[in-house]
Amino acid sequence: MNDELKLVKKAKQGDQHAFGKLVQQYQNKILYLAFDLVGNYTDAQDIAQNTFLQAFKNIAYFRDEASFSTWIYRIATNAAIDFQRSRKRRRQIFINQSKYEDEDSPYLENIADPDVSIIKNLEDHDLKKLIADLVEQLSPQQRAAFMLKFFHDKKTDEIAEIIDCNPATVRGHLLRATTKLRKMLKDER
Amino acid sequence: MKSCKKKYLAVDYFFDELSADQKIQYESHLDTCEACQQTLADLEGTATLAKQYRRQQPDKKFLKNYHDQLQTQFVSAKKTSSPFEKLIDIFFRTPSIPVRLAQAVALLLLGIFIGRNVIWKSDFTTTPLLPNQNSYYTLNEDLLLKNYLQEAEMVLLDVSNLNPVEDQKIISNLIQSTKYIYLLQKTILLKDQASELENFQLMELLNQIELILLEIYNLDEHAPPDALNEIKQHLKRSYLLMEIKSIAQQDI
Repeated sequence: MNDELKLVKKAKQGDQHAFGKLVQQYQNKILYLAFDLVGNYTDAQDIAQNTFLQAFKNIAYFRDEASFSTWIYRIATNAAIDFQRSRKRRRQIFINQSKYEDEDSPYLENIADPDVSIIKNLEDHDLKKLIADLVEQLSPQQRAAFMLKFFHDKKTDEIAEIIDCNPATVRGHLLRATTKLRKMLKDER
Repeated sequence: MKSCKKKYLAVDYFFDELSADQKIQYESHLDTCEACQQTLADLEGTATLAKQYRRQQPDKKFLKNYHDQLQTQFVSAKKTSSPFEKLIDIFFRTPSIPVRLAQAVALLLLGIFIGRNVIWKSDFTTTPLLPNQNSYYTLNEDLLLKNYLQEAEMVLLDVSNLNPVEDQKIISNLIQSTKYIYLLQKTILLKDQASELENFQLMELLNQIELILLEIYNLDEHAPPDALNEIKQHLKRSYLLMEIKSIAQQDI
């Protein structure tokens, strides 16, 4: 039995020290995942803390057939998706606030062709804006699939478990995101 | 360029999630399929960008504060506990088989005691959901929680049964109906009441109902079927209908 499984087993029996160890193992991963999904660290921190609180309350119901990592990522992703929905709702009701800076897009000038070598010329700032613009155009589920695959190295089947859909849908989300990225580069060229 | 049904395999191929046989078959297909070649190029381009991407890092103070808060909340539980804690561990957290048996017998005896002395001696009453339910009767009849929950259940059931492609007209009729608008208003009013009564369980439920109702309300007239599908999935994932049913069955 690996160390994580031992900790999970102890935590399920009410060992708070073991749960604390699990929190330490996942605290940064969950914070970064939440940041990738909501775009700022203040909200990401709330989501991460809620994730661990939910996990703590429900650890007794955690079933061993899924991995703890998938389970905690699932809680965090759901919390972030719900957060995005409520933020969207707030925006629609009140003011249409733009989260990202509305600057010119200098990265586009550098790109004559979505070719790998040219993409390498992107400055850090331009790349951040490109990714931010892309994720803004994706639905919460597509965004989650995209981030989990390209930035958190999750397998397609695991992503399907995390966002509660089938693997074919995850593949669809990923292809839609990559196609959108190509179109964004091409349209502005 | 024609689309290809096999382009979804490009994802598994690119991330090395195909079996050896599938890989060989797909590689021979790739030689002749332009659509799949383009899909693969898109995936490669995206992966290259992802590798270069450096996530904005939180500042050290923020990160320390975040770690400290988690530390206080979850990590600082001492490994060596007090004698009282040890007793709690033995009896409740990690009970051995004899302790479990003793607990079962004690529960049985307690059940018999309660049955004889409490239930059969008085009328059967359950704990009300609201600590001060009288305040509800000061409002209009429609605002009685039970009536509200029935209405909410009916509207959400309608939503969960909608077909996003065929029922576009029904959706717009639903969100324009007086029934729908009233339900939204009642949700907000009841939320205020639940907040005054500090009934957080009810507040959470009303928040979730409000969220779904507003999501539907904010649907654009020409919203794609995907948008409603997402709301339906959200509804399914939240187990809201089950929760409404279970609360409505309580004595409120």
